[in-house]
Amino acid sequence: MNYLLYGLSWSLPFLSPDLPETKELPAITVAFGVLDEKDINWTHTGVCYKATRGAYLLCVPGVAKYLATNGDTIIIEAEANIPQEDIVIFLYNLVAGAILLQRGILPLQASVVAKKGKASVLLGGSGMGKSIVAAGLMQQGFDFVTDTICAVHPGDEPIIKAGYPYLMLWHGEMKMLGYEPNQCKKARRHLEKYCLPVPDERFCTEAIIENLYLFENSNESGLYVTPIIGQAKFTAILISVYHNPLINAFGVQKELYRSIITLINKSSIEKVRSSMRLDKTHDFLNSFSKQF
Amino acid sequence: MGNILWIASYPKSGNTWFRMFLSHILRDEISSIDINQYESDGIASARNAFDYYSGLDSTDLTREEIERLRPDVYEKMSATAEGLLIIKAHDAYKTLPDGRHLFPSPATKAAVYLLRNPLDVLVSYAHHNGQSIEKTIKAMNNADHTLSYKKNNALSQLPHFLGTWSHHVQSWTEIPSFTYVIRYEDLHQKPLDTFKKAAEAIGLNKSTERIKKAIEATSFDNLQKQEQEKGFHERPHSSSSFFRSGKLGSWRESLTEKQAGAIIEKHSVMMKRYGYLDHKDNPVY
Repeated sequence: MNYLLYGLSWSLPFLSPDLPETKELPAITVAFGVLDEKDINWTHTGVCYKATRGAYLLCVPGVAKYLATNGDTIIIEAEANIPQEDIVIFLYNLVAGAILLQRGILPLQASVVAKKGKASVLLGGSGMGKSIVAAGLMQQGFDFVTDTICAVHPGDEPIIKAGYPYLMLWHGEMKMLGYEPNQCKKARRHLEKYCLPVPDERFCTEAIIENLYLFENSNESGLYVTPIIGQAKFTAILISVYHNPLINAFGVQKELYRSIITLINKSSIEKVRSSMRLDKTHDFLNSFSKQF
Repeated sequence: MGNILWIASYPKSGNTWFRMFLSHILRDEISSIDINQYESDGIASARNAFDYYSGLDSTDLTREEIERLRPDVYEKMSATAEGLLIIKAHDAYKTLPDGRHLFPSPATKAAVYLLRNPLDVLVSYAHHNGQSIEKTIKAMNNADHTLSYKKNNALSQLPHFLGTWSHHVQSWTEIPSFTYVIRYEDLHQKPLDTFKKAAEAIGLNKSTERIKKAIEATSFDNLQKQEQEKGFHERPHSSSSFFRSGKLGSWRESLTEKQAGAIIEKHSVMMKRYGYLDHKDNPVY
């Protein structure tokens, strides 16, 4: 059985009952194996990754190495006795982001909610509070599309396809929104981050982007929403591409820039500045939801 | 030798002031400095820089995993830098379980460590965090004191371990060989001599006239005035101002004898060593 993730059919080497099943032939095949990267001429390297056209290697110390090639194959060499959730969290986020880029699909670092098929994309770096805002908006009646990665498929309209049907929330964030963390599975062992399941009726598998909000930390009290205009719109999207050094490494600038231009022509982008303090979450949500 | 100049300190010990001075003398033109525009390469605990250089998402990692990777991240930053990087650090200097140093020598050009009378730090730190003096005393005396760490939540900075005020001072002044130590009080009382020697120690040889201009442009009064006029992006939301007092010995107007005693008792060895207590254990400032 294959699974649907980010609008693509994935063949996985383990059961993944959390993901919707599909009978489509796999676009991406994932297998466990021993990695052989000695013939690859890496052009870009970071502390935990190497990349070049058509190939990406992620090494998560103590967990696994992942080799993604040609936009269609992922080999995982896992350390001994590593539980599936520890392998999956990096596979469905970082490695998926890389393989989407290899295929010319724009992966934004974002959480996304939608109403009537129109998506609001919450952009921002790690620890900016995107997931808790998405969860809060879901409580206010929005549907959920994706957390962490927003896969924007190329085309005339900026279409997003659904990601992993969970919101990743920290223990304190879940408590703040009235959820009981201990009733949810952990995102990883030894990490107080939990997977909040999204009910089937609230899971939106596809949506067209209408608004984007770029989250920024501020030391001022209150919430400030200001439109981003002109060239700054392009920059705002570019800096929000998930692990953006890979754009140059894969040589996919042309495809990506085309998607970004479609996106900025068809949607509004606003900067959202707030202190994003956990204890002010409800105040933030009350003010922010007036945007819609 | 690497490209990173660490400007390390316990919080509220003159770190931002000193980096603004450096930013001024590194410029070609001699002009005033805008506190919201000064050149800075960020803080060592920045989450976005960690994610960028590591290629990982730090919110998916445990505190121990992050700490283990930080030396590699700094080595990568240094290796890919086109010139000098000036990076602020509030972490204590630390040797990790694998024997590596948190701030590794291969990434390091030099380090400046700023220290300040802990009694004045106490008052300033309490204002900065919007917390009581009592709670701040506990933090400064807490061997596990760590900033930006919440087990149950991720913050915009990575967790950074400080330990007690004495531990912090000791860690930077005794372990690494590359540290140049400056007292905040000397920056106030002997600015030309102190700033000039510090600049020379880190390889920035500038004329006396140039140093004087930088001192003038980054005077406490000037920075405070700018913050009052247009705000300062590094001010925490818990505090009404970043450049608040800056006076030496201002603790005498704010602390009770008991509160001052709680700091002196815990930190007398380091306070004596750096001239904050006289031979009879009386505060000098």
